[in-house]
Amino acid sequence: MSLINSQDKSNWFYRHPYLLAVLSFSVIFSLTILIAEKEMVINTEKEHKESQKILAEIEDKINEVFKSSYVTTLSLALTIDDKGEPKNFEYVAEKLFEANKNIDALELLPGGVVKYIYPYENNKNALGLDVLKHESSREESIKAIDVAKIYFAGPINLKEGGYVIIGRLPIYTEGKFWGYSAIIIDFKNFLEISGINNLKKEEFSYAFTKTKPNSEERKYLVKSGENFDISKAEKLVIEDADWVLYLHKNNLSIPYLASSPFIIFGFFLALGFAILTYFLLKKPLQLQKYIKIQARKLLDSELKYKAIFQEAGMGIIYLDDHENFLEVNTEFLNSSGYRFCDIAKLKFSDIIIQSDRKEEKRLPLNKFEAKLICKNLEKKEVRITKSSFKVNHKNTHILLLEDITSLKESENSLRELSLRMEMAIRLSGLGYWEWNTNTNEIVWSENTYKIFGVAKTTQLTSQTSLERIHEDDVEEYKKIMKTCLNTKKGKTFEVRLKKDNGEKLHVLNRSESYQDKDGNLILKGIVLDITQKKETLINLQHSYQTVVEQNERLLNFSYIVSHNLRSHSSNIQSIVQLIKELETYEEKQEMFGLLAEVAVSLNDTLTDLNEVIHIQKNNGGIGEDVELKFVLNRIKNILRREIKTHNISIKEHIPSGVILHFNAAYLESVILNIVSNAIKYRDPNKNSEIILNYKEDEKYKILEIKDNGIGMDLESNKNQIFGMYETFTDFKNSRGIGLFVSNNQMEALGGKIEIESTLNKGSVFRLYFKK
Amino acid sequence: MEICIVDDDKVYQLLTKKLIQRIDENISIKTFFNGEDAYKYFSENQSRSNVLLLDINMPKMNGWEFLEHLEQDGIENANIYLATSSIAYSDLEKAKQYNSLKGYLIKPITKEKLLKITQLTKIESN
Repeated sequence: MSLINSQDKSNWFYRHPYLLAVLSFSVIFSLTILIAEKEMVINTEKEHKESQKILAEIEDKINEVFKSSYVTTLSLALTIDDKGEPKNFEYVAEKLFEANKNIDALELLPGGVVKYIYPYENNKNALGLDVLKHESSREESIKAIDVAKIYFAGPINLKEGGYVIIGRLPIYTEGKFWGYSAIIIDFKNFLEISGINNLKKEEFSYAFTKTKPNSEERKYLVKSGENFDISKAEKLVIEDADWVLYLHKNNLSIPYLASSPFIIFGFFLALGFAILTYFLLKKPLQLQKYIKIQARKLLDSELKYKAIFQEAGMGIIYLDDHENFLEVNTEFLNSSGYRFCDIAKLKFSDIIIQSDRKEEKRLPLNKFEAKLICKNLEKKEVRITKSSFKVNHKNTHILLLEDITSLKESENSLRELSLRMEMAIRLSGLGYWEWNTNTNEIVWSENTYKIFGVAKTTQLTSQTSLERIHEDDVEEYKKIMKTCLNTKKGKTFEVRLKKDNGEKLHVLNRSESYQDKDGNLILKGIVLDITQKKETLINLQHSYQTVVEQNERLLNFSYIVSHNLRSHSSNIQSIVQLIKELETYEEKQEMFGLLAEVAVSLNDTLTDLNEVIHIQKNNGGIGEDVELKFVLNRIKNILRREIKTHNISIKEHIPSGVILHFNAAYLESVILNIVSNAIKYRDPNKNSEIILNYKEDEKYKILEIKDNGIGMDLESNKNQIFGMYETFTDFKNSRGIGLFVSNNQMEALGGKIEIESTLNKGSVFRLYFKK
Repeated sequence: MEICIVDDDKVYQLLTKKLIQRIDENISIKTFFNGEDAYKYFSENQSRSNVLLLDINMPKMNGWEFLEHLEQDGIENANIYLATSSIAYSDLEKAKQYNSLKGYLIKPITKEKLLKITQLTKIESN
């Protein structure tokens, strides 16, 4: 941090690379422009000077022409004598003409009129021309008088031909204007001499103008190029003729273009320099930033490390390669009870017991479990994680110690608990099952396999259990499972299972459903084989039923005793009373006769009762296999006389080989009773017939005996039909004991009798024998 | 006065007849062996009997059924006594349900019982 602070001020430059780049660009570029401008000014100056030099040269040449012209005209004027007449004009003119090759013609114009001219032949047409009066020459002629020296007019086109300039010198004799001495020079020739024609058109532009006297109108005599800008040109004024020569260098109009390559170069130089500056300045800044980040990271990780080391919930030990303690954290000290000074002289191996550690191997594993000996000599189970690294070329180790004592303890208690649970489940015979309805994964405990009678190797599906469930219970079972899944409410119910050997099992089932953390709908439950209990219960119910029935029979019996026996006893009482009262012998004899009758009846009743008691006493009877056909044949034999006498047709629809497990004597008694009843109560108006049918249902073998006799009104006799001494007819031999006994006999062996009957149509008796 | 005996016990009928005749020779006696015949007589002849001795257990139509039929038809002009050998409590209880019953007699029917009935009937008819 101190390093960074000290650099702060000097780093202002480093922190503004962009600004500095812009600045350096500006400086360099400005310099470039400044230099370019300077260069340009110098260039322009040079060009001007060059023009001026050329103009000076031209001026010298023109002045020379003018001087020689002046000399020539003056020499010519000297020929004029005192009288004002030129003498030897021809001669002098010839001499002058020869001396000055530039001259085209010489004239003397006394009073402004052309009078003398040389060479005469070529120019005689000009004779007599008054220049002061002629329009084209008047103004310039007057100008010559005004300036009182030689003044060049033109160039003008001569009448006699040629484009010339005319220099006129006003001549005064005795203070009076005499006329002009004039020299004519070909204009082309003049341009040649003056050097104007020699100017290079590629290098220079120029214009040669004439301003007429008394006017500002400028007339271009010679011009190079159309677009000549006078304002930029150097000029040479020739007053003796009112001429102006303008001149400038051709490329003068674009001075910046000349220096533009330099400016462009300057621009890129500045740009390059700016970029260079920027990057040079930026690099340290970036490095500095990077250092800052690294420093922060370093600081962070140091803080983190310190925090982890000191505040960690597990013990941390820092060891050198010889297992000496370099540093330990608070948690380690707290949990082990040591102070650092206690262990500073110890080695790590002194406080650790590692069962599978060998002496020569030092901290062999990256992860291992061991026992830590605490200061109070308590041993703690620890899991140690080691990481090794080098510091100053020496191996060091950081060990993380995790106290797993309680984990081990709970592991042990869990194991114990699960052992107990297993034992409990095994002893109770409970079977556990679980069905993940989403993945269709099914788990059964060992007992569940046993209860369902399924081999443990069987691949379990949702069908496995359904196949084992009794067909009568399957639908109900499915319904309960669905409800359980839908309502998430547990349900306890019983279900019957079938075993391979045909046995039936009664199973108590408790099912519950819930949703696990992955969203799977799980159905689970326990099953318990309750067959024994269930069978005991069923037996108990049977016994109860039997007791109830016996009680009913007992009541019936007591009623019989109460009613039937008493009717005899009351009769005897009455008879005895009358015997006492009656006086006559005959009357007494009659009473004794009645008494004998009652005695017989009483005996019959007692015999019947004895029979009933006998049946009931032998409740359950001795079952034996009896062939139904055999019994029927015996009965037909017993009743053969009645059958023949009354012409009864008996139709048998009994398959041969039907065997009933019943008491043979009872069976014969019951069937005989019903068949003889059918004969006894036959309808004399019909052809009597008795039909015997045989059927079977789930529980019973059924013998049906159907007649077309007189029938009974069952509606009104429902409760009495099997009662003792119930008769429905006035038949003299009807004692009302038969069905009572038959019913008792059937019930004694678990069967029953059902009757259907319609008055005048006939009766159907169905005998139910338990299968 | 007419006394009607409905009972399937032939001996009982004979004995009861004898006893009635010994009380009053003028009393006429009608006998039936089952309820059905007795009911026919009662419903057809509007009954001239003053007293009816009715047994419970009889073929074709027992005493209870006979009573139900009479009550249904609204025949009330006789003093009906249930005369039974049954000492079963259930029968006595059942008898209380029939308004048409004048009394419940347990056999044997003695001379004294018959006397009481005839005297009571005479007083009421007068």
